[in-house]
This record gives sequence, C-alpha cells and structure tokens, in this order.
Amino acid sequence: MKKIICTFVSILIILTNILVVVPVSAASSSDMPVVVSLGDSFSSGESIEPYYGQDSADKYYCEDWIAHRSTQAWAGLIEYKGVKLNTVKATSNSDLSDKLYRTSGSDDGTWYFAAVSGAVTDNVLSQSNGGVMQTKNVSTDVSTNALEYIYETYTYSLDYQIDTITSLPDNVTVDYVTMTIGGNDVGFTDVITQSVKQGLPLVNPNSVRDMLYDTISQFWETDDDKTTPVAEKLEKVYKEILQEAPEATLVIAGYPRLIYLDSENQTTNNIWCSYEEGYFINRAVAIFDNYIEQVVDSLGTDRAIYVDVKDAFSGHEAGSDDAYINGIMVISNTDENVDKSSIQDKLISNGSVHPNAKGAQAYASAVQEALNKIDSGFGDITYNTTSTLNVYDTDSNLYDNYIIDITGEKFGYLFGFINLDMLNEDYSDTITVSSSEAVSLELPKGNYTITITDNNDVSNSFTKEVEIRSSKNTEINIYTDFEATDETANTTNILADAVEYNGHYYQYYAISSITTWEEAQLYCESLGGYLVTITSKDEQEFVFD
Amino acid sequence: MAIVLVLSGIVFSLAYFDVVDIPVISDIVNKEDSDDDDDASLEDLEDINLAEEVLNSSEVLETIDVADSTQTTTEKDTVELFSERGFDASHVTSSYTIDGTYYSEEVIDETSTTYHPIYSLMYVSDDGYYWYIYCIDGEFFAYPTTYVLNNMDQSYIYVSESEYIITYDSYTNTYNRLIPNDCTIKTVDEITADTLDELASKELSVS
Repeated sequence: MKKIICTFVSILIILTNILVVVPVSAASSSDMPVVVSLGDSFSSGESIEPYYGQDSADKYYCEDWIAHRSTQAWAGLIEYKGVKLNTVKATSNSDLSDKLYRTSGSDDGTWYFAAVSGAVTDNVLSQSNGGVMQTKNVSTDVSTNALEYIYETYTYSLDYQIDTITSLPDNVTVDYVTMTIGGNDVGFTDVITQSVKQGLPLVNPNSVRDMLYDTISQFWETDDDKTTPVAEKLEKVYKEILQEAPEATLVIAGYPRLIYLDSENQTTNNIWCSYEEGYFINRAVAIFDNYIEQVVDSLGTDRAIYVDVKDAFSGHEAGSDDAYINGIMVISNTDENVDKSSIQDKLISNGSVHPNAKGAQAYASAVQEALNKIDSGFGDITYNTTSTLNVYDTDSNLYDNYIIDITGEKFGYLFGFINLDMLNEDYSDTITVSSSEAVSLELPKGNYTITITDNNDVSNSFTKEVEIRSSKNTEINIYTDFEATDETANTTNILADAVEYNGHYYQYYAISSITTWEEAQLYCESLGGYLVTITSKDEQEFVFD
Repeated sequence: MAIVLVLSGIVFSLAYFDVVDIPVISDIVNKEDSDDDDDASLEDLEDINLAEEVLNSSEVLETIDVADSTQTTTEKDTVELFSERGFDASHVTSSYTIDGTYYSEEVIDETSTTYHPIYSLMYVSDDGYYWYIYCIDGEFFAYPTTYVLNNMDQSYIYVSESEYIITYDSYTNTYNRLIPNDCTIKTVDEITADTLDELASKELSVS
C-alpha cells in the first residue's frame, strides 16, 4: 500500500496536478502521538451521548457502545498541536477482534480508546497478572415500545484493558497512556446512588459515612488476608502499563469533588444529599485522590504523572447552577442502557453522579494543562496577539451561529516592557458570528476568558482561558457540543466543484508553480483540506476515474 | 554592591507580591495557593456524625441507646415478623453488629439469635413499585423508592405505623424516634405487603 501511495504522489508532483480533499470533519495532524486511553466510566464518558457505535445498526455487538465510550469523552478531547485526539476517522481493525479504534488516517499517530464503564483495577490487568475479564449483559431490542421492552440478553466479554497495549503491532510505540481507575473499587457513586435508592439519609444517616470510611480506611491495608488493598491493585496496574509501554508516559487523572456545597445556606441544592453528607463525600474523594497520588509518587519515575482535576470542577459539582457533574438520574426505558433486563432493579441510571459533557471538557482541560508542561507538542498555552479563533460544533465542523464574549485584563507596561499589575486594564469585547468561518482576533497581551454562547440555545456556552503573549501559536480552538441546525452547515466550506466519495469531498487542481509534495500539502491546507492519501484500492480507482 | 542587593530584593519582593510581573523573576518567586484538600486525611472523617444534621432538623421524641433497648430483634425474630406481614423474608439483610460496627451487607439467618440494630428488605409491589422496608428496634416502616425517584423535586416520604419514624445512628449506636421537619410521614395501621400494594396502586396518595 505504501508503495502505491508513494508512486501516486510522485505522479502527482510530475504532472503538477493537485487533488484537494476537503474532509467532513476537522483535519488531522500527520504527526500525532500514539495515545492509549484506559480506565473506568469517568474516562469512557458514561452518560455523555452519543457513544461510539450508538447509531450503528450493529450497536448491540459493538464494543464501543457496550462499553459506553463517548464521542465526547475527555481523553479524546486532548489536543496535540491543536488537533483533538478524537478528530479522526473510525476504522475497524480486524486484528483487534472487530473493535473500533480511532485512527488518524496516517501511519504516524493513533488514539486507542479502551476505557469501559464500570471497570475496576482488576479489569485493566492482564490475565497472567491476576486480571479479571469484565463482562457486560447486553440486551438486544426486539420491541421498541417505550413502555415495555421485549429483549434478549447475551453476555459480552471485554478484553483485559492492558491487551490494548500488548496487542499493538511491533512497529507501534505507545507515547502516552491516560486513565482514571479506582473509583469503582471504592464505589463512590454506587454508595451515593444506593443511599438514595434506599432512603438511607433519614433511616441511617451515617450509612454513606460508614460505607465510604470502611473502604477508604482499608486503602493501604485490609482487615482480612483475602482481600487485596486498593493501593496494591493500583500499583500493580500502573507498573504493568509502564512495563508493557516502556516508552510511554502514564497520565493518571484523579476524581473531582462530587457534591456542590453552598456554605452560606448550608445546603447542596440536592434533595437527596445534606450539606454534611456532601462535605463528607467530597472530603472522602479528596483523601482518595491524595492516596492515588501517593501511589503514583511511590513508583519513583517521571514516566507516571498524577493530574488533580478538582480545581477544574470547583463550583460546578452536582447541584450547582452550572453543574459539570450529573445529579441523580432516574433510569428510563428509552435510555441507552446496555442491560435492559436490570432496569427495574437498578432504578437509577449509571450516569448519575458522573461528569457530563462540560465535565468532560473540564477533565480535558486539566489533563491538557499537565501535558502542556511536559510536552510542548500538546499545545503551548499562550497565543499570539493576532490569532484565529475556531469554534467547532459537535461534529467537529466550524459552527455558524454564536456569540463570542471576551473578558479579561490587558497588560499595562512601565517603560514599555515592565508589566505592572497596577497598570493593567479591564478588557471586554463581544462579537456575533453568523457564518461557519474562523474569526480573526486582535488581542493585546493579557489574560482573557473567551465565552462562546450558542445563539440557538443561549443557555449553552463554553469557555476557554487564554493567555495572549508573543507566542507562535495563532490558532485558538474551542470544541463545543453545539449542533449544526441543518446539513448545509457541514458543507459550507466545501468547494463548488468538489466530488463526494465515502463522506469526503475531492477537488482536482492543476497549479504549475507547485512542484513539491510539501508545497502541495500547504496549498491544500490553506483551502481547509489536505493532500489526498490513498488508503484503499476503491479510493484509488475513484481518484483515477 | 549593597545598592544592587537592595534593589534586587525590592524587585523580587514586588514580584513575589504580584505587584510587578517581570518574566523569569516572576517564575522564580511564583507561589501556589494552598489547597485544603492537600491535607485531607482519614482523621478528618472520623469525627463526622451525619446523624446530627438530621436530629437538628427534626422533632426528636426519644433517644435510646441500642444496648438499653428491650425491643431490638434477633435475626430469627425479624424473619418471623417480616413473614407475618406477608413479605418474603429470605432476603432480609443487615449491615451492623449490635454494637454499631459496620460490615458489608449480608442476608440474615432465620435460625440465628444474633441481634442487629437495623434490618432492611427490598420489596416490589404487584404494580412494580419498589419499596425498602426497615425493621428498627422492632418497629416497621417503609420507604417508597419508586415514588420518591419519580418525584425528586419533593421532600422525602416514609410510610410508618405511627406519627414518627425511627432512625438508627451508627455513630452513637442509638435509636431516635423523631418527626423530621423536611419529610412527609404517611401513617398506616400496619405495614404489610397488602398495604404497600394498595398504596402503590393509588400512587401513594399523600393526603
């Protein structure tokens, strides 16, 4: 295949013909790192629809849907050189048991998403290392009656998550592994939902306290010899990952505080959780996070880093006005429940007390900041005074109907070069955008908050903190969950004479002044596309025809 | 030299207190805000009694140490009581020893004479309504799970055989008979399977 591609590119250069491909989704970088994302429901993106495979006719047999791997999970929102890890096409990989993995479309970078909702530490380990295979009961719909489901249920077995790394081809080197794990071993969300389900806040107010204290107090050492402490399990998981991915940096994200605390009114704004109970739960999470960090530190390597996400969620816990964490969600027949046979017993959705789409953004921003510090390829956090703002919708296309609010502080200088806080001035600006195009920004040096509000739903907004300096970065990307209002919004950047094939648009150019592959690539990118890369015989035949 | 040192100190001080933002110097003296969570430890949790908030927001009719109660039931007694009321008692569970020690939920034994302060049973009525029934200090009351989850914007509701409910405080190992301020108590003659089935069919008329 590579020989065919090389030959084809050579022909293009000789003939000075340029084929421009304009993708439906955002362009991918050709030098993306190999990232494997493992872990539990906080990593898979439980409750954040759509899940990969959700719209597939075979979703009941699609592991991504069964595992509830969200298209907006935080791990995929991480940006490398301005490109989100999940802005890639999905391909099936028969070498990896029909699983769908996100690939970049090039040989240089891939993102493997293997987190599973409900996973515990044992589900990550290999079988030979004491791993336990995670299984899911999957109900296939026979009836679509919203009041009653008639279904059949079978058991799906997921691979040990570490196998995602060990089964990669030999020529693939993992650069990063991201994960959250351990929360289900402790059972934070289960304890909370069970308490609500059983009315325990009044019957036995200390039930949550007792359950969580019992588990956390045995984090380092259990009361009996039969149970392995969570600390030991985490250490085992981390070590095996570092061993199987010897070139990789392991990025372990912690957990956020779950319950909003209004200290002034001594309430959580949640009928199911008192202020004291919310304080206790949050404190327990903080202790657990500290313990996780201690385990990471004990590894004694800078190849493992712990990322604290609590600040990113501060003020946005369950019960807050702009919550990043779901509250208690009652289960419904119309939900994307994998196991419908247990709906009536469960009563409360698995997505309860989990990060929502904004929570995933918060996770991503916290991890992004950590990655920025260790690898500039993940994005310099500063931007140039002349930058371009790109606002993407849920399909990763430029959005066309929103308001930009920029607030912040522009720097003031003494003698033109010494920044003094007392000379700083407030800054604000509002821009209304009504077309799907990038917006040119001219901002003086300073620190700003850019808030993007959807004009179709003014209650929905996303923010990004930016630092404007003398930076080389000129592209500010904000990814939202805004939805395009019609199909034309996805194609406004398509060239008039472009021909569609397999979800992409191809445009043929003949420019005699362009003689190298690099010049051709740059020209294509200037038009919002990329130089064609043939990845199948069918595509080759289409192009030549 | 002295002047240089003094001036340097002034500049560093200005940078430390964020009056001046000079690259490199500001990085050197950059300080991080402290976070209480960094110091979070297990000791923080030990002295928290979540029952206090309930007691403070209720009319407490009686508080009695579990050790002093003459009504606490054995596992054997409890199975009989549940059965008499028409419930399948084969899945009644307990999570506390008589001295208030927590352990993972276990199904009780109908032949055992071991005492526990609190027992619970999940019950599904004929209409598919879920309930949790509690036996605390020998008295019964029920929590309508399905109803509460379908009416999450309302306060909690319990079904009791009296005008109060009993809560178990595991921290102090006491029973508290109380009337919570932010809770609705529906009183019935007796909590039986038939009673709960009837209540469920009427969608728990609260009036």
